[in-house]
Amino acid sequence: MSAEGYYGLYGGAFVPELLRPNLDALAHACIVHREDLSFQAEFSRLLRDYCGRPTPLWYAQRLSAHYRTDIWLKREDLNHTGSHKINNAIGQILLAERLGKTRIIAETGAGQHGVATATVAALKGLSCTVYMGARDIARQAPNVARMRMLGATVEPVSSGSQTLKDATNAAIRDWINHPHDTHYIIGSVVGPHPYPAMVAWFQEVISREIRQQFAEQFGGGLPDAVLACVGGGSNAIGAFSSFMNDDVRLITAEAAGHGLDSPRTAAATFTGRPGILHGAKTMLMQTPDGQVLEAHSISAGLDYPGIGPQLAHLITSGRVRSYPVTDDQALDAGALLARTEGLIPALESAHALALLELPEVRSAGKLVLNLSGRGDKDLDTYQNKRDS
Amino acid sequence: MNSAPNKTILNLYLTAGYPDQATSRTLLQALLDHPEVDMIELGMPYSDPLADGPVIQHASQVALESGMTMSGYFELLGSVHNRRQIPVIFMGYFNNVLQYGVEQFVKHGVSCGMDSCIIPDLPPEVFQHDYQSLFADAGTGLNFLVTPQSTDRAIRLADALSHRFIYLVSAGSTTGNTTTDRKHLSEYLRRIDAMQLKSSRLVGFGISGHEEYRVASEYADGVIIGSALLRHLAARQFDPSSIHAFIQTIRYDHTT
Repeated sequence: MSAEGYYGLYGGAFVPELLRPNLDALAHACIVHREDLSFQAEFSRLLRDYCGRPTPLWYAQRLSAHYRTDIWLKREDLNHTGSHKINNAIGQILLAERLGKTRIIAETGAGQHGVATATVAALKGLSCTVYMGARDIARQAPNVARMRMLGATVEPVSSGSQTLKDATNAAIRDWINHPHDTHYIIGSVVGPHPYPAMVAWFQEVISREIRQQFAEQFGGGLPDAVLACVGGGSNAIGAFSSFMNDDVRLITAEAAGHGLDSPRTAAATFTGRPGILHGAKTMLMQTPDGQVLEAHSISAGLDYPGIGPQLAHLITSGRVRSYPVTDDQALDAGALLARTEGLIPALESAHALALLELPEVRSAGKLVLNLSGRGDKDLDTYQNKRDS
Repeated sequence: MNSAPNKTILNLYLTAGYPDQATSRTLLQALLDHPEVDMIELGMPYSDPLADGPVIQHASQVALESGMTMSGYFELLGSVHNRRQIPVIFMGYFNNVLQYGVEQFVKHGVSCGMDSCIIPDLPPEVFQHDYQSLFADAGTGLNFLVTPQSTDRAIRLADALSHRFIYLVSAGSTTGNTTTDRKHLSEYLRRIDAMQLKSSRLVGFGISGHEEYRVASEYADGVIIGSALLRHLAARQFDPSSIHAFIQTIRYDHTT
């Protein structure tokens, strides 16, 4: 990454001047606190004693037997609040505190990041507003109830596609309108610099642990491949970052919705081209004129027409191999995991599990798959699809 | 009608294609023909307008649904008669320009009568590095935004790079915010005034009535009004003859 937050052609900070002072202050805070031992100590303590880290690396015996390969699951679903999103929320609330902010805002798609943010805001006694697309509010009711119980205000967003993209717009506008007292906890490795780098920093604990746990279980050595799903890409970057310079295959699943040949898709690197979304240059689904298209995925957390700029760079440069996974493939993969391992995965993570159907992925050798979240929030969707 | 020259520059904003293509052309022509309009900002609707409040967001959505495109925008601009030769400013977001092709955009824009541009999400440093000479060679350029939170350094850079004016955002807010604090506004404008900038200073975002206009005319060169005009027009079935009354309420004190 360059000083201005570029990853190859992607990244940067394409934002109105109104956001600049806040972004500059945040970038400065990242530089200072990354080296600050007391910050690191508090971050580690909260991850351990509050979130329950390290999360286990589980050898999935029956799933491995089913696919005739060796599969380990990184159990991010066992984190407090049920997904990897809490890692980033903890890191950002500590920064917000040090910046003297008293009000927290966030966007959310599936509600996992909204719940994580509402949780850390409650922990620190700060007021919290979460923007959520009206359509996502309808399909992720349990998480909406959790956020409210945690004391957050859930603000429905009825503009545009009424999903994650529009919730993000609404949160950015809120930040423009409240530049002094508010910190915006973005949920993924998206948005203007320094957000992608900052969120990657708070999520890199995932791959650090994988590396250590894998070595412990094998007495050394690295996995042959690491698998993750990608919406914005925070769990993928988190699972990959420690392996970037090793001979480890890094593989992502993008939500293809109804398929790549359908307009109802969210597979940005397959159907998009470079453009600007939420202040970053990235791969983006758009019209020839540059109007941003509505994405579709059965998984609200992957329902995003762009992708984090670092992943856009890693995928277009070939370091990360990405595959499209449809709604139906994800549902089947989620059902299989439930019956083979007794684990109900989030629909987001189910996209990564569907990669195991691909012979070229299975044959890579020892596979670590980031099980980014648990599926309680998706029970209705799993159930409705099975019945229909 | 009072058509005496007024030294405060009045820059009025319309969203191209709002509420539909034909009405939009009629409204644009009416602004071009009104003697008290000094400058026009013509907005290209974008799907994700981050700097805009609810009024312009809504106008953008309606305009896109009515079929507005970049080509349609230039067609509209090329089809009206700018008899008084007033500057017409492109206002739009960078992704639309980038996808159209920046070089093509500049060429086509200038040939259709575009004076200069406001592209709020194109940072001055990126413009300076990648595009400044392209714009300058075609005799056009950008006008940059500054806010009460901008550093002196950012204000100096915006001043140095701006083509026709610098855009003083009246408060830390998206467009159309109606709670502009007049005391803060005058403090901010005085700060800018003391910096002795080379560019004209137009105040925008949250200018909705005569009171803000008066404060702005005292310490700056003019105002930009968007959301308040769109609200006025929407409440009057987009009647172009209502524009005159709107301008009167802005320009003149009606409380005495």
